[in-house]
Amino acid sequence: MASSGSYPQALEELILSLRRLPGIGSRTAERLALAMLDWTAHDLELFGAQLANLKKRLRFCDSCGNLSEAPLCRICSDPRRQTDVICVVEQAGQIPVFERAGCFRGLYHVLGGRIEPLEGRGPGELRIEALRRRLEGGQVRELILATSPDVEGEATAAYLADAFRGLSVTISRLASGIPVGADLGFADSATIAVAINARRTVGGGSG
Amino acid sequence: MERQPLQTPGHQPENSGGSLRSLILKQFRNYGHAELEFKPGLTVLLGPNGQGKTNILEAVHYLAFLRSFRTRQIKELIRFGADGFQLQAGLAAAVAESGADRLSVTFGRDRRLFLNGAPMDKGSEFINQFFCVAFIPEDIELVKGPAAERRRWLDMLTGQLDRSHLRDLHAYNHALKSRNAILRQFGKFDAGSLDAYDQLLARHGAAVIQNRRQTVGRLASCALADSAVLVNGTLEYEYLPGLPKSDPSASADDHPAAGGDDAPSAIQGRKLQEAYLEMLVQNRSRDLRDGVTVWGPHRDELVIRLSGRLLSAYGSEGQCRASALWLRVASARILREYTASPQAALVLLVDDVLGELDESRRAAFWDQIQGGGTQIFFTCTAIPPSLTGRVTQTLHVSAGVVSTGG
Ligand SMILES: [Zn+2]
Repeated sequence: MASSGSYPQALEELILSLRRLPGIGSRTAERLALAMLDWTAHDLELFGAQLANLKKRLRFCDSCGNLSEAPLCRICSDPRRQTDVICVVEQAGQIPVFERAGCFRGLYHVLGGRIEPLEGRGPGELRIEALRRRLEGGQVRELILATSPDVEGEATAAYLADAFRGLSVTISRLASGIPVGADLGFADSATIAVAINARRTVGGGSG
Repeated sequence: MERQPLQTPGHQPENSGGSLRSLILKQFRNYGHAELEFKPGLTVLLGPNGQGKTNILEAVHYLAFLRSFRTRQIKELIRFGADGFQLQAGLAAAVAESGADRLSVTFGRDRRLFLNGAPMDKGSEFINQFFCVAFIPEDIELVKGPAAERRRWLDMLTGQLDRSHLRDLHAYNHALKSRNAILRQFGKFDAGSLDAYDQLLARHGAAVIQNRRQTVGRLASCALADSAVLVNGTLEYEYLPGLPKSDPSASADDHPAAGGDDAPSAIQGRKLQEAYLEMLVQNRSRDLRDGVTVWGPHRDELVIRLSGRLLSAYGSEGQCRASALWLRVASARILREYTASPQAALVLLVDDVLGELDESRRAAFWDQIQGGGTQIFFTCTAIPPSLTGRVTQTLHVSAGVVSTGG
């Protein structure tokens, strides 16, 4: 079943790299690598350049922490977005899920994880102070906590709700149309829409 | 919403007789490939010891709970020399909780679950498609063993009636481990982190306590009157949450307490959650010093007394065995009585637990559990006189081969 040593080294190395991707087992990695053998040299070079530039062209948005090519991401620099609502997510990868649902017109804030004591990850490793500065700017009226509905996500939401309780910001939590323990990345758009529209207040002022 | 408990035997609620109709075992224990068909009612698995009778019960149990009643080592379930096992069950249509009538588990490199052929990711959603209660010799540990045995029994029973209990329990255990990790790395984690996890612990811990207390209450109301047919004396159950006594004159140490009306044990819902949270805050400095969360449902105890005396300390071997047997009878009753889906199949697995009983008590035991559509599997080396007139099907088990012929 494993591919150990049955291919030339160049192919073997590519298979090993592909296997590092989530959801790719050795059999799939082999299939993908063999499929690329059929590509034209030009297509392969283009693909290689895309990979090489991935980290050169991408950076994190100075404001929200989203992936971006400019200092401000496309959402933060879009004048049509509501600037008085911020939706807090754990990872930048969750933003497109909300965007596809199409019902949220505010801004985001990427925490960069959640408080995970069993992994030794404390609040100091999250972008919480950056969020506080945004809230203290005074423009934000509502904060939506969209951390995942498992123990760590709920605890992180509770932490943020407590931390910003003194500010005049309404704090709400996504309603759980989202299956308990589910990965937000796999939630469908309809579910996300329900969850956003049925969010519940968990703390904060109402000014 | 809750139906009143206590039915006398003979007045079992009408049940459509939902049952397990077929079972396929592949590379499971000593079975290479066996396909079994079952009739509703009482099926006797007959044969000498060591032929694989109990393995069939174990397979049914595994399909119900995704765990064996004999081992935590999944490898032991795989037939010697094979690299995995497969189990499939067919239920009478529409008796399963989900409406599914075909369950399948394959265990190779990883575990795969199927309901009606559709793959299912989460074991927590797969289990308890049918109600199952096992009566096994190890049950004596329910009475004589440590409190953890009784908690596990309470949790399995409660989880059969209410899936959310197992979710709360799992979340509680996870939050507890997380909070203990914070206590040991305080500094890296701030007081706000502890506040946040305290809230999670209180939310899920209060739910666990409330659910367990409800089950013990049902146990008391279902099971008091008729236990005398198996056990000499009166059985009493007292649930003691692992929370400190609220009486300030009481020692803060070590013994979880029942307490009076305003003790945490007597309050419910949001009030319980608030009291729980307050308790965590009050004990925070001690928890920080010890690096561990002292109080909580991880210290719950179910005290069982026989005629006023602590059974585990004063009961004879025979009294303990009979009481453990009664706990299982009561489990079956509680499932039948409190299920939200009266169509649900109730499958009882009875393995070598009647040895201590005299013939009249054995008959009383069968009277207690038979009827009302309950399906029973019973292993024995020879059909005992107490079973006369009760058996609907006899299967002969010999060296991993099952046959209907005599
Ligand atoms: Zn941005």
